[in-house]
Amino acid sequence: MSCSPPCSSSLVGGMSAGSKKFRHAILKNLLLGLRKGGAASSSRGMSLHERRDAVRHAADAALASARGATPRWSRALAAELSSSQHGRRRPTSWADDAHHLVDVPATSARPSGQCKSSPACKMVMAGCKKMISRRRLRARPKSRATARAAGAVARVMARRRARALREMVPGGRGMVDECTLLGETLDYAVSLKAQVDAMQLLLRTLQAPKNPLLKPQQ
Amino acid sequence: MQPTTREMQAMAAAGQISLDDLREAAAGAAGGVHDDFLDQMLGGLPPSAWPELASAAGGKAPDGGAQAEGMQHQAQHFGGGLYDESALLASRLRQHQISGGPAGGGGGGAEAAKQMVLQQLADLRQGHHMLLQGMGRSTGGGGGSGDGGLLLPLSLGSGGSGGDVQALLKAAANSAGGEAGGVFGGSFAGSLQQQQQHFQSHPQQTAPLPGQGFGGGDGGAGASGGVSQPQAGAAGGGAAAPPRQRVRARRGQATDPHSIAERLRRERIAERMKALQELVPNANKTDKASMLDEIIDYVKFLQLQVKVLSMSRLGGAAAVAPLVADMSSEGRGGAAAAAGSDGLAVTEQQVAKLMEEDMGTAMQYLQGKGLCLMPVSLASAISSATCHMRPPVGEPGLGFAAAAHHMAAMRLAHGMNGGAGSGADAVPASPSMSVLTAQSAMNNGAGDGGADGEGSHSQQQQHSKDAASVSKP
Repeated sequence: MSCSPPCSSSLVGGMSAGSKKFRHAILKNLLLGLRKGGAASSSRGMSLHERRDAVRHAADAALASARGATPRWSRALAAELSSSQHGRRRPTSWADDAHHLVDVPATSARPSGQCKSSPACKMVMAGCKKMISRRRLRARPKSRATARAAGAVARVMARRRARALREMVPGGRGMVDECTLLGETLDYAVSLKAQVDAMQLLLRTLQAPKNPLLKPQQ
Repeated sequence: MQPTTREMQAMAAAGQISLDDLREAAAGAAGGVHDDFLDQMLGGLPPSAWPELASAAGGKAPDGGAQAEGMQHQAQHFGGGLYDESALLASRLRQHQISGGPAGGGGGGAEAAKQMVLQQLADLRQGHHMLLQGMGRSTGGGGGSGDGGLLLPLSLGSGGSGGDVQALLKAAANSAGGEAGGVFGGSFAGSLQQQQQHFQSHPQQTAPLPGQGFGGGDGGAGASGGVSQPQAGAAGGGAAAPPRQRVRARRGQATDPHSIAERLRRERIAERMKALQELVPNANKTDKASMLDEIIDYVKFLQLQVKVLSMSRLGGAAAVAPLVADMSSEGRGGAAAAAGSDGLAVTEQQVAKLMEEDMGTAMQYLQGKGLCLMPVSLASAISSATCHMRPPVGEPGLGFAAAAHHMAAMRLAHGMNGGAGSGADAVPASPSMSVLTAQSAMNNGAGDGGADGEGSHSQQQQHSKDAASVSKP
């Protein structure tokens, strides 16, 4: 039982999760996604929630495509996006991004990870995994010795926390190994921070006051 | 009868292992005769009960029924407490010494004593094994492989009363050695003493070793990682006892692949926890568990932030998107009010004049017009309207801005991000970004760290380049 190599150290096109290039890539993709998705077109008369979802989808797609297919959560996120797009009113180009990400490592990704897109399937799998892990842990009788020797790992990654992490990190359901889960969490957190920074920059830019800096020189 | 059969199997296993141990210990010394003798003894070695031991001086093979009873008695007895066993064992052995000695001199007595000793040891191990089975059932490594070493049950049984068992072993060894008067007996005693010495090294281990400490056995695979710590310690000592079978391991380290994998896994987890600690703003470092909670909260917070930001950006996105679209469609788009061929010249003059005085004001003037400065090479590259722009300026990217009331906002980073690999492929079909204003990125995002710093840097760097051209839509 060996962990996969830490994802955050992998470089995709010279870009790792924490670099500035990554942030700019997110920005660029975000703009593209916003434009393509028409999330901002008020002519369509979207409600607030729809717009928010559209923008968030664009942001997530931007994040996933900027990050590439290396980390597991990225692929899972792309898969989620593409699958949710199928049920929407019109398929957008985010689906293309998602497919691009999903198809590339299709062979490497675990087959169970692919079929997790549907919510029902997800719930079932999550329930199964919870039961399995519960049974596995309960079957170990917690006598004095075993309990004390349960180890730092077990104590730290208590079931509750591991479950919480799995629910938050996309693609976490398929990660039985806590080591990879932690690695994915690390990478995902860094990428999320970059995404938030990019969106904040965009927002600040758009909402910036235009004129107070200008001094008429002539 | 279920438990009986299992225990008997364990017994057989125990017997087998002890047989092997003794064989190897006696390999050099004893001849084949003794091996046969051992075989005979151990093959027929019954799991006898304590009361039976007391009664029979050298009863070899009590019937099965008695065995069953004995097992159950033993089970009950062992279930009671570990520490009674050593005292009982000592007392029993002394009894047998007394009774066995005069009962039969020479071979008979030796046989009885040896058998008693072996019985006792086997019983002890088996009893411990039963206990350990009860405790460590989940490891799945029980069963046959449970009795990896003699030491661990012994150490389990006499953590506190080590002296008794040592005396017992000594007595047993002495008696066996004395009465047998043979090499075999000496070797057996030697092995006993060897074990006893190893056992001596153990009494310091206060942690009650779980059943996973199978002297190098593979039972610990299923155990959690933390078990391997005490297991490693025990395995280190236990592995030394049957030296020819297993690799000699350092004290505190285990050689079996499972514990090594466990250790590696724990190290990886530890390093990742450390990295996460540095990432999350509030680094308490008090407790790994609380650190994990912080991490979870942090990720939740970031996700919430994304959600809120996506809600608030709508107006801006509305401003950006159509303008960008306009740019693409019109090519030379222009919401630029002051566009005009001569206007451009005028602007250039203005900019040149301003640049002499102060770069900042020049930039502001440009921004007011919705223009920016860029190297000629870049301008030509951009205006050539190719999708793959790789300008020699290897800037990580300007910030960008959209002056909603002025021009379209388009990110120069499209082109700047040459190193972004596949990112450049996603450049839209309208690369005619002739106008950039980096105003907000420079001015507003002062606290935004790198991006804005870069924006200003790259701006200035551009200015310092050889050619500067003012481009406009």
